[in-house]
Amino acid sequence: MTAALVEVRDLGVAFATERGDVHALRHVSLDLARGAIVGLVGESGSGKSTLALALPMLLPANARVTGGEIRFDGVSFAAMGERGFKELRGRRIAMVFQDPMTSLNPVISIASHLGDVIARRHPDLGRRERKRRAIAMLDRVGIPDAERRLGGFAHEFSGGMRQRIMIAMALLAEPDLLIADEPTTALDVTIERQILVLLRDLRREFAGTILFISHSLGTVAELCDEVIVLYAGTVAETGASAALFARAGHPYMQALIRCETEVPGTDRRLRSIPGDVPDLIDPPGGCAFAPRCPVAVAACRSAVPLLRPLAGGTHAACHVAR
Amino acid sequence: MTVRPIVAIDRVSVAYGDLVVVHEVSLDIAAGETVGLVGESGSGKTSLGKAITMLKDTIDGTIAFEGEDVRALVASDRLAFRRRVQMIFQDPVSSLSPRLKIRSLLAEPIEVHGLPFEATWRQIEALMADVGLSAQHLDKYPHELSGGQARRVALLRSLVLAPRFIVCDEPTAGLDVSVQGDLLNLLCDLQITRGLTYLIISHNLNVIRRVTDTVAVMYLGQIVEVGETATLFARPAHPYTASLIAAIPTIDPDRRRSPIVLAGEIPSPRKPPTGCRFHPRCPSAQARCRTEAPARRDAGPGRSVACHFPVA
Repeated sequence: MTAALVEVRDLGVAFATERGDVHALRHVSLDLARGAIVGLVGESGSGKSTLALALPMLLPANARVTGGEIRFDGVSFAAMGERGFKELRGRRIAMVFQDPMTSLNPVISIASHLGDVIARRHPDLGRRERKRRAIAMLDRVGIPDAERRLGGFAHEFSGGMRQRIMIAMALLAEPDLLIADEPTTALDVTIERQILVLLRDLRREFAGTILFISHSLGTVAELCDEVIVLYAGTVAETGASAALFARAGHPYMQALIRCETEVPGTDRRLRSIPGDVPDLIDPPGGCAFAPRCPVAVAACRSAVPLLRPLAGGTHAACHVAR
Repeated sequence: MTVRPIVAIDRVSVAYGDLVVVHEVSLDIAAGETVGLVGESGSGKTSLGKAITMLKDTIDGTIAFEGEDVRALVASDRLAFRRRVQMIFQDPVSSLSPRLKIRSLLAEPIEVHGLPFEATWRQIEALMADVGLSAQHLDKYPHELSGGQARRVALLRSLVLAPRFIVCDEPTAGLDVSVQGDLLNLLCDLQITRGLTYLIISHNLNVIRRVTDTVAVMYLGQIVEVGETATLFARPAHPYTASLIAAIPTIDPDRRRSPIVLAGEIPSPRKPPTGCRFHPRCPSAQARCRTEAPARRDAGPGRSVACHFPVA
């Protein structure tokens, strides 16, 4: 068996703020298997986006890695150097964000955006061949009338079409890892459905790994092979998508699933998770979820739980789950 | 005997310049009811909400509130109408002035409406606990609050005026699933204790399904289906409603039927399709749909559908 494309071991990331260091990721270990679509779920402040920025080393200036290691295709970040990171960001990792307008230059045509990506990947290709490939890719991601629209600008496209253009750019880079950070969150459910169908179709042609970040459990359940659940900067549970959504073991994941799915009775009460996400300037000593957990025992407040296998087939960081 | 609706919308159209975004829409809302208004971006949901609250003029049709024409109500006493009918906007942080502390933001409606300050402020203090805010929030600025707290401030600003009817535009947009339930439960409690009627505008069908009594589905400026919530979700009649419901991503593999994937996107209202406006995207469109616009017809108790070939 070949090693995973991305191996994260005991990673810690902190942001320096006026109030002190915010420990956004703590002791995070995970693998992204080659060719898999891996879902990363969690609520605001769970560390999803920090992890998305840590993988291509795009963390902002006030962030620092406090410990642990990331290996990409077997090479440790510690041994990579700035040139290695450039190669990583420019060629091996592509990203699609929630708001495509932040990634598309408003005064540069779609043709130039796509042409630049192709030229970087295949410097030997002529202008005509670049154009042919750009049109073929736009057509593939479902932009109608691709040849005519190639000369257009970002503002001339709808939100769904812009997201298709972002996906086209990402795929033309032929990356090993595609990081999609909430790519369907701003879209209508009908358009989200079209994008999910597109991503599922594309995976047959795209050999790389996809890290799909979302707060929507349903979206992740429908698209992903594997799922990683983050809570307050730590991994709460991981597992194959089918097992995790059918037999979640971590009390946080169980509560989250009930919040999203439970149909209220005649009293109309909807479920929520009482309490707040802990302040990550001074994270709780034991399990991060213990202050809100309905089944917490004394050990949960003193000892950090490690990921361990559960009967349901998932791995959870919980002292209580079996 | 039918009860007179608290809001009666009769063939209302709304336009921005010559762009008609709401086209001859009719809808009755019963007192004490929660009605959900759903549809894709660009369907005219928010414009209809603004028309009901008279934040946007209509170009045609009438809207009656408790039996009286809203234009006449606004003309005779604008502030009195504003006290009875309120709208809470999506993105509460940006709808609250960033330079005012919460204390001033809460005092603002008292001053605007010329209410007795001391007595009204005491009401606000009493209400704060009900909506889940405490005195420590008073000296904060909007950007220092979480999304859920900012929504509670916006809600409190409305409640102090003792409204009868509130339009809530995307009340849970951007909120985490774990706190959405709290906010929706709060809306539900306030409805009972304060006798409120709600129109909830949302593209989140999971929320609409769980908190509304009735749902109205909009497509390109028109209401295409209205029905009791549970019935409509179980047996949608309009192909558009059916495809919206089928598109909801679900974690339950048993409910994951092969979804109807709607082709294309909602067209511009500048040049709406002929006949049924949905026909270019409709999986069951026939020749008649291209030429003849379907009227909305009764289809059982509380149910109406605008479709030549309903699917249920």
